[in-house]
Order: sequence, then C-alpha cells, then structure tokens
Amino acid sequence: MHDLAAIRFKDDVLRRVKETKINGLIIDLSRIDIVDSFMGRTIGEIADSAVLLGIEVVVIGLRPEVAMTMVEMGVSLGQVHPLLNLDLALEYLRTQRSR
Amino acid sequence: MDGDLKLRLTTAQFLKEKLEHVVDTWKENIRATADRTFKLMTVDQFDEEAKSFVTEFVTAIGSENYEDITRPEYQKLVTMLGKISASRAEMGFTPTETAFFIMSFKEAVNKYVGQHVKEPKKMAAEIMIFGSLIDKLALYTFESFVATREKIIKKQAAALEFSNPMIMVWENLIAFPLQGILDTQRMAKFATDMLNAIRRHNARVVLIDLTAISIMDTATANRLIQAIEAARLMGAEAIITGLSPEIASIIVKLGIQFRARTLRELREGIEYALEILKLKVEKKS
Repeated sequence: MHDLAAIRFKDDVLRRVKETKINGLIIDLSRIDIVDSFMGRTIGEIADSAVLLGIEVVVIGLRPEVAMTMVEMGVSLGQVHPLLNLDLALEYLRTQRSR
Repeated sequence: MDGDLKLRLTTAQFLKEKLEHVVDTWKENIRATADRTFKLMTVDQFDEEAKSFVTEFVTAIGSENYEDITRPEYQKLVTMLGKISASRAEMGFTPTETAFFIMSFKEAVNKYVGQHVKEPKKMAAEIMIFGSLIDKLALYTFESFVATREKIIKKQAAALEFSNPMIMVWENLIAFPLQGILDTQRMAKFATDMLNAIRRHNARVVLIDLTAISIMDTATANRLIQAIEAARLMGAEAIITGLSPEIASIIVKLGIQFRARTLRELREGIEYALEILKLKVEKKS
C-alpha cells in the first residue's frame, strides 16, 4: 500500500469510526507485503485517534517476514494490540468489552 | 634390467589384450571368497567397474612408473578409485570390502605372471612390484572411502547445529530449547523458524529456553531481542528461561527494552505460559 493510499485509508477509517458506533477496530495486514515507517506511523495514528474515542484497536495477520523487517527498520505500530488471527481478535475484543 | 622392463610392458600388453579374461579371473577370485559383492551389485555393474579399472591401470603403468601413485600419470586412475569407493559406499559396501576389491586384482595379475614367467627370481620380483603397486591403490581406495564418510558426517553435524527443534507443549504454546553455539547466522535462522512456527501453530506464547546456551555476543543478543519483538507483532508473547548471568549482562549493556518475561527455569516458564492461556494443571483425585 503506497503512501497516498495509506492516507486515504486512514481518513476512511476515521470517518467510519465517527459515523458508526463501534467499540473495536481490527486491521487485517495479512495481505500486506511491506510495512514501511510511513505505513507504520499511519496505523499508529489511526490507533491513537481510535483509542482517544474509546475504541480498542487490534492488528492481525502480520507475516513473519514483514514483522521481522519492521523490527529491523524500527517501525512501530504505536498503541495497537497485535494478534495472530481473526478468532483471537474477536475473542480479545469481547473480553475487553466486558470490562 | 632391459629384460625386466620388457616383461612388464608385456604384462601391461596382456592386461590390455586379454581384458575380458582378466576380469573373469578377478570375478572368480571374488566369488571364491565368502564376500557380499554379488549380493550388493549386479554382474554387469562389476564388469563395468572392473574393465574401467583395468583399462586405466594399463594406461597408468604404461608410464613405467610402478611406485608413486601421486604422480600425474596415476591421476585418472586415482580419480576413478575415488568414484568407485563413493559408489560402493552408496551400495552399502564397507571400506574393507572396497579395498579388498582392488587387492583381489592382484590374484588375476599374479596368475598371468605365474603362467608366463618361468624364472623364479624374476617371477618373485614381478609379483612383488605389481603387488606393492596394487596394495597402494587398495589403501588409497580405503582412505578415500573413509574421507568421504567423514565429510558426510561433518555435513550432517553442521546441518543439525543449524536446526532449531520445536516442542509443541500445548495448544497455542510452543517451546524452543536452544542448544550449542549461537551466532548471528543461527539466530537469524531461529528467528525465521520461530515466526513461521507461531503462524503455523497459532502460538500465543513462545517459550525460549536458553539453559544450554553459555555464550552470546552482543550482535546475536540484539537479534534475539528483535526476534522477540517480531513475535509480539505477530501476537505471540515470548517467555525466556534459563538466561545465564553473562548473557543477562550483555543484554543489559545493550540498553534495549527487553519486552519478554524472563524466568529462571523452563518449568516456571510453562507455569506462567499456562496462566496467560488461562489453563490449569490439576491432579486427578
């Protein structure tokens, strides 16, 4: 996902978040080949904004190679909670809600 | 001396002309012993090997050098012996059996010498010279066999050193008891293995046991910390057990945030992991 698309993605997500009354956000990165620092920061910004609105943000599906490259390049995802897959994400969000 | 040389040249000539005959004699010698040759290879395979050997042998002795098999004139023959010993190894022959194959060629040569040299002294000299040469070739075959085997064993040991066996402790819980010497290359491989295992087994907790690891340099420790962080991005929490004081101080010196729970023993690691997974081990009443 290139930079412009990332920005558009962020705007889309934040708009949707405002329009609907959601409690949790799951970002699926399983089809992403590279997460560079810009993408990482964008996701971090989405998470920060969402958390301020009381929404829990989960990232799923990061591939081994992508995860390793991100760590090597020092790309951080901010406040997101990373999990492996959709099942675990839904389970996590459910437990967070019941708090 | 001239007569002797003439004799040796005719032996070489004989071996070349009566190739089939020599190989047959050779085959009979081997059959006569209680040896496994024709259980492990076909007659055709034997014939081919024997013929190639005799042909190269004749070429080599055509140089009139009957002593030194390290000289270039023996290069082709020696290379062929290497191939023979490798192929025999694959068929399941022992190094002794392979060397014996070459040594029994002596008998075929001696048979000719016995038939065509009448003078006892000359016959003895002839038998000795060829005998000594063929023995050298047989020893070379033996050594080549052993060297090849050692190479294979070393390769297997190296491959094992690079492997990172994983234990599937419980659902969503995997463990890696690391062993041997960890350098950056092995650590890189471990990182890949671990992350792939997290995905394959849906691991939520990874136990990394370093009890058997005594040394780790700063670069390797750094890679380990990176691998743990990558695991976290994949949703798996890492628990380190068995960290030695030396490695601990290396990590501290690195000054990097070490985001993994560290515990002393593997057992404690498993207990903690089960807690994270909300599992309990109970004794049956």
